[in-house]
Amino acid sequence: MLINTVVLFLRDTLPIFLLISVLLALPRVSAVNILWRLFALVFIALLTYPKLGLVSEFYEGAGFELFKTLLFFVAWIGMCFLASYGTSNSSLLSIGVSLLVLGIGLPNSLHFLVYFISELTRNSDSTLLLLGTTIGLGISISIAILLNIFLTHFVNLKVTQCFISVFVAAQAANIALLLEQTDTFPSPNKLWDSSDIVSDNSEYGHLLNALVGYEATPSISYIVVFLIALIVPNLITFLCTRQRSTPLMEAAC
Amino acid sequence: MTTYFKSSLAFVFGFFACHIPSAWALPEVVVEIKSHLFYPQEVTVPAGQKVKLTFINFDSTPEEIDSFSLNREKVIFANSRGTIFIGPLTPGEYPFFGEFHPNTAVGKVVVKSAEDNQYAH
Repeated sequence: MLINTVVLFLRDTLPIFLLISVLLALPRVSAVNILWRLFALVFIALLTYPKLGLVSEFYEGAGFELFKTLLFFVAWIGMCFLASYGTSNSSLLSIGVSLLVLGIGLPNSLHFLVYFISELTRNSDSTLLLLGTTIGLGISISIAILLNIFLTHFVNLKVTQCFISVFVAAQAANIALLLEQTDTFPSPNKLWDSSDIVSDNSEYGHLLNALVGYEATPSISYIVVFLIALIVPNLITFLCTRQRSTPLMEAAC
Repeated sequence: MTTYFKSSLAFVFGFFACHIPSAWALPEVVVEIKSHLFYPQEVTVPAGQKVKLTFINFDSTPEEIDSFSLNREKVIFANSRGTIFIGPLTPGEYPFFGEFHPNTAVGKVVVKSAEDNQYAH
């Protein structure tokens, strides 16, 4: 149970820690800004958890997938807001960060909450569960700190912006997997199979999946959603940067 | 703007209305979860065809179905059922497991071509 808890904690919550790490690497985003949103996220997750069984029964048992799809879409909208954060409009930045924390944080935290609460109520001795959660928390925080140091000390802001757009696109690309699973998207043959190089099941596979959306056997839908989710925010950044160079257009951006 | 909104709404409803009956027509395989075990542990499905895989959880705790080879991941809540759609797949074996009880809840989808099924009979 110890190892399983660590694995599940890393799989489910690592994206949240990576998101915090990346957001803190951006200028004008403070730890206080992130902290109150995280408290709000925990509160919303605890409120949502009891209703998950009911939600999952919608649309022939695909309710939870559709709910997660909606949240990942919200995260992507947040990225679009954040893409124009170079403007003087700080409310865009605030909305963007809030939507990102909600859209990426809620589906991932709910997944772990389902496991954590079921094991907590099932076992009288929760030592291994709590120990596994603590170890997972330590590893997640360590990876997040390393990433934050890398983004703030070794690369410039453009690379950080590029990285966050890839990271959010990777999360948004999960929409394709969820909709394929519910038969809303077609499930075409896999484009390639790189399981022999890096398997989805391996530690590197998990880390690369959380960082850049690595899939050993991606479908066309996955790649298309990933590319759209990546290109649109970068296009917004490009257009806003260009418009800012024209003073009359600045207000419109 | 109103026309655009109405058209969009009609498209969304139309999409789902057309979509649901096609799912109903698909072959369905049922796997039961009892005491953190899958029954049956091995299911056979035809190659090159989309299949509806339904999990019924009789346990009082949730289970999360995970398969790296099928690229599927789904939480089946306590005393409830859930469906995932798989395929079209090439012949072979596609393992899946219960993420919350990976030591006991293991199973696989065996995909067989029409020729394989013919020889088996």
